[in-house]
Amino acid sequence: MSRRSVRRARSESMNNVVRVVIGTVVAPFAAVVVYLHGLWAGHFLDLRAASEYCPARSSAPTSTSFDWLPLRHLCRYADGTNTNLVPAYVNPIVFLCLAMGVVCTALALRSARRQGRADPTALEPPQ
Amino acid sequence: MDQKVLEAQQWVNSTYGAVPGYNRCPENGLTGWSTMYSLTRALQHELGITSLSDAFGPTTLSRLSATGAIGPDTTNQNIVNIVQHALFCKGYWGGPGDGIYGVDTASAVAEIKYNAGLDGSDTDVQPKIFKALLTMDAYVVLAGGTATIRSIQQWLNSRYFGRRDFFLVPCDGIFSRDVQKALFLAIQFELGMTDDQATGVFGPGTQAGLKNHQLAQGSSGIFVNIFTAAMVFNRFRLADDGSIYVNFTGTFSSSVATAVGDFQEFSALPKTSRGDFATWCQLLVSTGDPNRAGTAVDCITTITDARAKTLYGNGYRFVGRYLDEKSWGTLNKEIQPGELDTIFANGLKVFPISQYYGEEVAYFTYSQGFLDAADAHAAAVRYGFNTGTVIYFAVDYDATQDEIDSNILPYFRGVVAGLADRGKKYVHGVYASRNVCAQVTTHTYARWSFVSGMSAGFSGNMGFPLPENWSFNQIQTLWMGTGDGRIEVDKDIYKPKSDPAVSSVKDPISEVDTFVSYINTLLTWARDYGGNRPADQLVMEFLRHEDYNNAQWQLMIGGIDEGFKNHALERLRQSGSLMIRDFRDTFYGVDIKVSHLGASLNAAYLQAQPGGTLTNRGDVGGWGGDWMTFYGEWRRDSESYSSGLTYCREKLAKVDGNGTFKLRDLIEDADAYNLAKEIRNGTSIWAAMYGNYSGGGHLSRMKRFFEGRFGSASGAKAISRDMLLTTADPIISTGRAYLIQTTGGIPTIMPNVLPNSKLDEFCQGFADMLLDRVGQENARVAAFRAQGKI
Repeated sequence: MSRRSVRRARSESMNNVVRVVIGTVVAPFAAVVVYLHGLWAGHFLDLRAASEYCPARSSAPTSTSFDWLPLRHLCRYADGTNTNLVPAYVNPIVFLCLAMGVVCTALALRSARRQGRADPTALEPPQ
Repeated sequence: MDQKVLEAQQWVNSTYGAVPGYNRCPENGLTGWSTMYSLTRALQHELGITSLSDAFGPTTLSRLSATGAIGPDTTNQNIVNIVQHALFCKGYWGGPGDGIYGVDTASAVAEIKYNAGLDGSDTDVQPKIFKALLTMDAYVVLAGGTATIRSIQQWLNSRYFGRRDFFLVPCDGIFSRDVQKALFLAIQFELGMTDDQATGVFGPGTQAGLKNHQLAQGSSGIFVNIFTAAMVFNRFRLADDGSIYVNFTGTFSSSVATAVGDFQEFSALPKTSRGDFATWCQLLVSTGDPNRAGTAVDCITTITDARAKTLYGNGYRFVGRYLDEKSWGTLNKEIQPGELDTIFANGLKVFPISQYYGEEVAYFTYSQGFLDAADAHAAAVRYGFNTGTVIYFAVDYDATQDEIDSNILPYFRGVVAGLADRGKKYVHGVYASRNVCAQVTTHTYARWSFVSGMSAGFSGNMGFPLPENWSFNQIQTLWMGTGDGRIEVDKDIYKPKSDPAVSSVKDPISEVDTFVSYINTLLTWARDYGGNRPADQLVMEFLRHEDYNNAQWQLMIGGIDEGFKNHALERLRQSGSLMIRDFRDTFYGVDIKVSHLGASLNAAYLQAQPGGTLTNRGDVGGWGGDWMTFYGEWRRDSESYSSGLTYCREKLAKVDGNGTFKLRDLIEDADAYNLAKEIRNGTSIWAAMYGNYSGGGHLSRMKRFFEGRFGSASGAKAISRDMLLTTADPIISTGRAYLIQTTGGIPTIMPNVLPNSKLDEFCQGFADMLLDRVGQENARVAAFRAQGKI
């Protein structure tokens, strides 16, 4: 292999490491952190009365409901309206991070497969 | 004792002791008004005034102006000495006390000017600065003050000090009468009034000017500054998190608009979220806009059928009437035979007032309060007022803080004792100025405050916000109606959802009975419904479903049966009945929150009591959750309350005031524990409720809770400690971390990191509180027995 090819291969290999780290560690970790933040900010752990943490309206909330994914904690009012206590940015960021993780991992796998094909010696068994 | 203050006192007495009209101050090294008065008289003597006075009045000011500012060039060493000693008395290092205006004196003057919000580069003492030096005003934040209020005080001084009649206001962070008056002046100056026109009185000219300065989101400028300053002074709570409003700003942002809405709601104004005229008035004077519509009145006149119709036709729904009058009374103001029936028949409600005299300080003593309470009780029983009715005891004069401490509070302690002595059938409220209402509420747990806002000039109204527990605010005297229906009344603003007042008397069924009957109905429906959960449990779940069914509660004790919830709601709708969310406990006169009772009961029912000093989810659902939150509150307030024991004594399980673990919560927790124990032993929820609330069980609720759950004081201390430390259950640990951090603010020191001794002291406060409550309960039961009531 020429020196340039060796450099390109090394560079590609480095990029792959970055993709793997982002895809399997950074992005999922960020998703988990933001998700936990959503649990905290969305009063999922709150033991107090819903009327104490639900936003004030003309009437007190008549019930609450929640979903784990997408993260949602609703205060429901007598007039039929409701308010989601989970900050609006939480779910988009969680999904973005998860998508980024999947894409990076997929790119890394594809690149590794290509590299494997371009360098058949890499597949030779040790002598 | 302060050595420099003592030197000041010795110097002024020795220098002027022989001057006619001079009053000696005590030589004790303690700074106070007497020393300031002596220094004032000394200055007047130096200025050639022969008729000396404590007051630094116009003559002193004009003579001083003629002399010119005091500074390094001043040759009268005695005047410089007065400056230096006044500085010492205010806590500044004024120099060696040698009568020479040196660097120390100049820098002390610069510092005090800077603290007052003025330019400190000019180190001379101008006449108005001299006047400020000879007061007890402080220019640093004092206990109870806030940095925001101080910044407003400094802003007022810096902006208006140059105006002729604007004198330095203290910069101690405390809203006071002087500060309120300064705010009136600021408005008048900004409205373009001359020094002669600006009087500091909230008169017609000022009101007309404000009508042209209505504010809304997007407004900016000096009137927004003044408006938000008034909002800060009113110290109201924001609806979203309960914190006090503190944003002093020149921009009417969306957050300011939201806060204005909260203030309007608190003050029972139309919620516009704008700085309209009514809101300006409400922020500035205790009447608010006296011409706004009210829904309540109080009067000394008998309500006849014609007068009741006049009131109803004019939009009034509540009438304050006097329970009684002494034989020597001449007003004939008490409720007349048949009058209550007339009031109720015309769609009006009544709130009873007790006032036998109450117009001067000497009247108010502990024994007088006891006697008045006994008489009011007797009168209320005679009319048939139901158990739990709030009676407003009146303080109908401008009581000062000293008088509140010396007479008014003892009087109300007597009232509390008097009502308790009669079996506590009735609950005390207070009619008085804002300050008196707030103090009586804090110290004697008055249920509601009826504010005499119409007396806008009262020292107890100026410089004080509306008390948090206000129910009625008296704002205007007026005549209405014609012919037989003509009547003179005091118009009151009623705060929605406060004192429900009385719509009937001699009721055969009390609210408690209604609630017990409601439980019976729910139990019947639960049995009809079937399902795979016990009917008692379905009722508990229904009681809690609105407030306590989020993720954490579901993880802790499971979700509710949605099918039964919908079934019961539909049955309620079909029968035209309403859900009961509160009912009044007859023993303490507080309103029990049904959802909290239901949640605590549900938790205690599902989780059997653990052994030893351990805790579990059954505790967290009741007293434990409240205890964790209370810990967070203590840590949040730890700068003011280092001792957890003191904090518990002052805040834990009180009737009213700030905080989340109030007496009402403790009653609900205790009842939940006692009820769960019975239901687990096979009693139905209806029978358990009946026994507890109608069958006398409530007379021993604290004793049974204390003995059953904790056993002893040491047990209470150990168990409450375990509640804060246990790591056996991750659901409890996460819930606890959340409650403590959100209440105390991130980061709050968790109990396991707190020094053992401090946590011990805090938990001792919990045990002491329970013992106190048991003791009070025993005393009350003994009184009932003595009266043959049980």
